[in-house]
Amino acid sequence: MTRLKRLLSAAAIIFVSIQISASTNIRDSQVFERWITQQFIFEEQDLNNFYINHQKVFTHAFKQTYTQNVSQLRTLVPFLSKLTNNCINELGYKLEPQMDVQMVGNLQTLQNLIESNTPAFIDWLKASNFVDNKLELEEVKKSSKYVLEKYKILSSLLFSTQNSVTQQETLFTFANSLFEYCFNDATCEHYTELLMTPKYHPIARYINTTMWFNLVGEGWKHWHKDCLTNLKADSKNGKEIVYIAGGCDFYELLKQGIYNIRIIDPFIPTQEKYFSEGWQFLLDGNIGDEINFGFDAKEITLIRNHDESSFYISTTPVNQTTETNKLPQTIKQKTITWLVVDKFGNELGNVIIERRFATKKDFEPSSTKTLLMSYCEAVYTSLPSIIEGWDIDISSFDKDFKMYVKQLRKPITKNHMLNIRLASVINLASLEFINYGSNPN
Amino acid sequence: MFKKIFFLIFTIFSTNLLSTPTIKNAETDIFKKWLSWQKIYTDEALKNIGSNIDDGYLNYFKTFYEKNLTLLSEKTKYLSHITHGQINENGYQLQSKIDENFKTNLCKIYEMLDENIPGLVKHMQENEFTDAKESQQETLAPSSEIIEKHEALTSMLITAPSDEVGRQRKLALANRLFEYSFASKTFFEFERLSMTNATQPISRLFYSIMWKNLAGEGWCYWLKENITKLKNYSDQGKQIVYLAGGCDIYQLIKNGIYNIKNIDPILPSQTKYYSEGWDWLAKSNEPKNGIGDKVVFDCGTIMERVKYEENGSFKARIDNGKIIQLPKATTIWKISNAEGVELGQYIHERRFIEQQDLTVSPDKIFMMSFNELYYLALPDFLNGWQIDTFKLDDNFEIIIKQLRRPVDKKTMCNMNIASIINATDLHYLNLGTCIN
Repeated sequence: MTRLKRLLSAAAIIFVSIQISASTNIRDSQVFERWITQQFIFEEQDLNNFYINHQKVFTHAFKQTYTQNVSQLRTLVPFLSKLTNNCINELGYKLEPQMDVQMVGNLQTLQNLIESNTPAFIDWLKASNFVDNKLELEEVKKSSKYVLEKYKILSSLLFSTQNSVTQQETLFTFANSLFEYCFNDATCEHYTELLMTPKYHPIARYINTTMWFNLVGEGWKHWHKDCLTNLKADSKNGKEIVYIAGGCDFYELLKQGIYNIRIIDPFIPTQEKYFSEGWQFLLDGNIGDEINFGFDAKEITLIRNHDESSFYISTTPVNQTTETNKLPQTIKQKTITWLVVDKFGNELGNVIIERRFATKKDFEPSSTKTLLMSYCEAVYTSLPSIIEGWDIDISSFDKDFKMYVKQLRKPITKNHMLNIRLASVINLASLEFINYGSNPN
Repeated sequence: MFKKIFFLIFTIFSTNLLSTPTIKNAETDIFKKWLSWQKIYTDEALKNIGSNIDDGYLNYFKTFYEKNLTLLSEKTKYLSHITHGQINENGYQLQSKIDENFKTNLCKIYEMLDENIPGLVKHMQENEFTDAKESQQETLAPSSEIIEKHEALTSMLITAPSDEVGRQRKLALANRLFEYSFASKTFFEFERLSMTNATQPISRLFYSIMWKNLAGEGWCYWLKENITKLKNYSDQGKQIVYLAGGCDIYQLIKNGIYNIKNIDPILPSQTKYYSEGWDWLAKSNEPKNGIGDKVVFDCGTIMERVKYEENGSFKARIDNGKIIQLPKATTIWKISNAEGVELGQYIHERRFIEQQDLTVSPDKIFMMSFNELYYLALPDFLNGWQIDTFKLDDNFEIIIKQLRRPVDKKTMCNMNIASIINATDLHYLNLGTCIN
C-alpha cells in the first residue's frame, strides 16, 4: 500500500513537472502584433492654425481631394461655393495655385471656430447653404454608407494635407471637439436641436459621421495621448487602471509604464476581429507562460501567475436564444493574473484579466481605481437595450463619476453618458442615422 | 315580367317618397352625454390660493391628512418641511391655528406651482421630497397605486371650496406641468429627472397629475379660453379642423363656431368616448344615406345632412385586436339658424389622419383633445399614428381643448422623445391612456 502511494506520488510529481515544463515563452509580437503595427497615439492638434501650419501643401491637397471626389461632393456644391468664395460652383471649379483670399479667410474662420466656439461653427454651417431641402431629401434616400463617405471627404477637404497620419491626427482632434460640443451640458441642447430639426439633419449627419469615423470606424484602435498621460499619472499615484471591456488592448499601457491593470471583458469569441492575435494565449495556458516585451526604454516580461476558473456563463442574450431556438453560447468565467517583471526579475505590477461581463458595480467610484473604456463601449454602456445598449443604470452612477475614454482628451462624466443616451433616443426618433457606437463593419 | 316591373317601380317609389328625413334634438338625442359629462373650466392663477389660507384650510388639511396617512407616509419628510415640523417622523401635531411658517411655505409653493415649476423641482430636491428607496418601490408598484398617492398629495395641497373648483385648479396645475415637461425651455431638465433614478418619483408625480387631469378625467374638459379663441378664429373665416374629434362638436356649435372639419375614423370600439348619437351622425342607414336629416339645437340652430359620399374603405385594428373594415366617407352637415339662414358647415371625413392633413394653412386652425395629441406625437414603434412630428411645418400649432396655450411643433417633438425615454428609463404611464 505504501509502495503504491509512493508510486502515485511520483507520478503526480512527474505530471506536475510536465505541466510546468509545458509553459511557453513568446514574444510580444505573437500576442500584440495588431496593436504594434496598427495602433496610433494621436496628439492634440492645433486646429486654429491648421491652415498656416500647412499652407505650403494645403492648396494642392485641397484641389487634389476635391478633384478626386467631385461627384461624391456634388450635393455639397452650394456650401462649397460659399466656403470657397465661388471658386467651386455649379459650373465647375477654378482652384488656382494662389488661393483666393476670401476662401482662405473662410477656411481659417471655420478651423478656428471648431476649436474655440463649436456652436458658432455649427451656426456658420447653418448660414452657409448647408441647410437645404434638396440635400436633406437626397440623404434620406441614399444609404448611410454613401452619406458617411461624402462627409468623410468633406472633413478631409477642410483639413487638407498630404500627410495622411497628420490628417488623421487632426480629424481625431476635430472629433474630440465635436464630442464635447454634442455631449457637454452647456452645448448639448444646441446639438440636439440639429437632431430634431429635419432641415438641419445634413449638419447632424456631418457631425455624427466625423465623430463616428474618427472615434469608432477608424478610431476604435487609436489612443489619445492626453488620455495615456492622465492614466500614467494615476498609475504612478498607485491607482489600478480598470479597463472595462478592454479586450487585450493593454499593450500601449504597458509600453507607457503602466503596470497595474485590470481588464474586465467577456472576450466573446464572435468579437475576435477586435482582439489582437494572441488573445487566446492571454486567457488559456499554463502557469509560468511568459510574454517578453522589448520596449525601447525597458524590457519587461509578463508571467502567467494565476488562473482561476469559475462557471460557464451565457454570451447569447436570452431573447436571441429563444428566437432562434439555439443553445446559448457559453464561455468559462475566469480570472487570470499575469505578473509584470523587469529584466532583472523585479516585480512591477500585475495585469489581471477578469473574463466576465461588466456590471454596474464595476463603475462605482474608488480612490484606488481609475476607470478606462474605449469610445464604442462607453457609448453602449450609456444606451438602453432598445438601441442595443447594455442597459446599465447610468443614472445611479455617483455624481462625481469620471472615466477615461482612450480616444478622448478629457475624461467623461455621468452627465456626458446621460446626454449620449438622450441624443441616441433623439437619433432613433428623428434623425435615424447610424448609432454613435455602430459596429465599424 | 309584370311582377318584376311592379317591384322595380315600387322600389324606386318607396326609396324616393317613403324614406322621410329624421329630425333629432341635439340636447336629448345626440349630445346628452356631453351635457352631463363635459366641463368647461377657466385657467386659474394658482398663486391666488395662498390668499385663502386660514384656519378653515388647516382643518381641511388635517382631515385630509388623517384620511390619507398611510398613502402619504412616504412624503413625511417633505410634509415636515412644509408644515414647519407639525408633521414629522414621530407623528403629527397640527395646531388649530395656522402657523405663520406653514402658511408662508404653502404660499411659496402655490407661487411656484403657478409660475415657477423649475423652482418647485429644486424645492422638492432640496427638501427631501423623494429618495432612491421610494424610486425603487415605485418601479415595483402598479401605476394605479402611485397615481392614488399622487392624487392624495395634490388634493391635500390644492385646497378648494368645492369639487368643481378643485378640478379647475388641478387642470391649471396640469397645464403648468405640461409646459414644464415638454416645452423646449425646460424639456431637457425634465428628461434628466426622468432618466435619473433618484428623481424619477418627481417625474412620475408630474405624469400622474397630467394624465389624470388632461386625459384620465380631463379627456372631456374644455378650457373656456380655447372656445373663445376658436370662436374668434371662426369669426375671421378660418375653418376649425378638429383632428380625431369623434363627435365632440357640441360646444363648438353651441358657442357659434360653424365652420368645422373633423377627421376621425369613428371606430366602433370607442363608443364610450362618443356621445349617444355618434353612429347616426356619421352614417344613416336610411336608403338615401340620411340626406335631409336634421339636428335641432335648443338655441334654434339646425344642422342638416346635405351630403354623404363613400370613397372606398379603410381597415382599422380595434381594441380587441380584430381588424375591421369601415367605409371611407365624407358627410357634410349644413348649419343654419332658426330662420333658415345658412351659417356654415360641419364636414366629417371618416378616415385616419395623414401627414398632409397637418400642413399649415392660413385658412385653417387645428384643434385636438389631449389623449389624441399624445398618440399623434408618439413614434410608430410605440403605437403612434404614423405621423412624423419632426417633419411638421416649423410654424405648426394646434389648440388642445384642455391646454391654455397652443402646442407647437417643438413641443410635439419633445413629447415624442419623452415617450421613448419613458419606455426606456421611466417605465411609467402612457399619457394618452384611456380611462378604464
